[in-house]
Amino acid sequence: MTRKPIAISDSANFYVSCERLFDPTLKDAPVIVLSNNDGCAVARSDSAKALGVKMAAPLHLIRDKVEAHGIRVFSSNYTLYGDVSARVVSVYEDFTPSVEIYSIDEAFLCFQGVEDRTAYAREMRSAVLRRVGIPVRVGIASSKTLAKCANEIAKKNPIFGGVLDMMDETLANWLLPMVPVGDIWGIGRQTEKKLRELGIATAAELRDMPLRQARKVGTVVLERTVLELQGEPCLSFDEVEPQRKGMAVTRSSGTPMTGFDTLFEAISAHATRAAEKLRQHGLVAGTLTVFFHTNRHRADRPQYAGSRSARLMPMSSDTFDLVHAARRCAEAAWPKDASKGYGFTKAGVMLDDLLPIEDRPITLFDAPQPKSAALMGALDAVNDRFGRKTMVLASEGTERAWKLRADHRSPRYTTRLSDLPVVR
Amino acid sequence: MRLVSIPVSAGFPSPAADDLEDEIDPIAWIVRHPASTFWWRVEGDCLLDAGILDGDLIAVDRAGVGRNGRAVLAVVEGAVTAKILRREGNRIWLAPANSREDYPLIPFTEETEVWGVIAGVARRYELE
Repeated sequence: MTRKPIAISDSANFYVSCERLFDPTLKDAPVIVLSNNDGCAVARSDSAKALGVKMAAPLHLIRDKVEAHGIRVFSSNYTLYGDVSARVVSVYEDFTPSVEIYSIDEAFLCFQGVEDRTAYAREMRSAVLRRVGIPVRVGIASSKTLAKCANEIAKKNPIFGGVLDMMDETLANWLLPMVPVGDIWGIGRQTEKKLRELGIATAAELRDMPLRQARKVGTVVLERTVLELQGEPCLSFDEVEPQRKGMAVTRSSGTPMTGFDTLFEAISAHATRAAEKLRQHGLVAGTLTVFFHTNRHRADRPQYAGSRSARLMPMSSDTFDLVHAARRCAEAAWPKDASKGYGFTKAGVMLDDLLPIEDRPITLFDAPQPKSAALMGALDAVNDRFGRKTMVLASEGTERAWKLRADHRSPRYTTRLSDLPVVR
Repeated sequence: MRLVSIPVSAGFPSPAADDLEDEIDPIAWIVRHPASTFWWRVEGDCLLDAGILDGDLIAVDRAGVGRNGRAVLAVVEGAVTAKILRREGNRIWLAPANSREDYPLIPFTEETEVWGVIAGVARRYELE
């Protein structure tokens, strides 16, 4: 059986790389980016990691470290990160016909038909670095789980120069025994504990686990992970636990979507799915991004790519909140010259800044939320309501926004005329 | 006899049909690579003789090719500067373009990094 190569390209410390793009003084400095409301460190430069700043370390607990080492601290600037992310994706699209966005800084790419995959990935990597200024790393394998694993290995071992092609079984056989089982995509802390009790500590051992046993320990999801590690693609990432940094729900549309209503139907379905997934894993999100674009490979048709982000205040996993935010984003991103008849073939919703619900900051404006279940069932009714109440809700949203703590936010370099970077 | 109803177009073609064109968009004309083009604001008259003035907005294309005589943004010692790339023999300089004021001529070293090539300028004037 010939297996199709899947690549995952991701940017380590993506938010930090975005901040560094316009401020060269950050190049060699330790940098951290804070979560929504300036709570804790969600992105750390390698040098900040080396100084012992842990992922999700609350800012008030690392103040001493920040001062002692001159760590540069930024509030998250999702407007900037969203724009840079869209640019990175558009470079990927020059290299492959099929891009599946997984989160703000990760995408799966189809590498089918590429002869020298390593050379091709290197070329893509240097194109992203040169054109957008963001360093990425690429892992290639015949399943998403293995590709992700290859990517992790490339990230941790500079010897690979940022690209690891694990299509070759000998290479996988050599590397997988060195990967701790907890590093495998979708293996949460609970599952890792259970596996370790069974003496399964590495990716290789997990790959060789009997399928029936895997299903017993961790349901069908773990069974599929085992198959994926064997190189058989069978996991859709809807099934995998979302990572803390974020997730995306996106689909291509067979027939191009032309009207706003059609497009928004797709987007609200994605937002609904994303909300379900958050609740399933007990998470809330701080930022929601909507994106959609026309078929970039049809140069004969009018081209448009739209993308907008909105803060979720308070952080939420509520379908109502997410669809509402998605509506605001979709309206803002909708082309002003829509009469050109754009046909949108891809639309998606991306969530960032995920937190366990019990850790979410309580804001002054936390209102008691209506029961989610009732809301989900009434999505159609909800959509009707939006038509009438959009203005009111949107204005409530903007009034709230300034209450959010973002004391160290960098300028919106790429989206506001007043915030343009300055060259002297 | 049976009647079949088939609509037949028999009018004149819309005289406007051939005239439907998009409004001109000089920004899209400047920005040839949207993914790699970023706008910056200029402070100072370092490139005055190249027609780039204090307060101008410049589009900078990271995918542009730095050639002798082209205006670029370069990163020198942690600061971004707009200069002209000048090659003299086997030495490369980041040169100002201002015959009225003194701006430094910076040698292009191994540490110097070209951020991007200036793709165009946007400027507007007071109306009132």
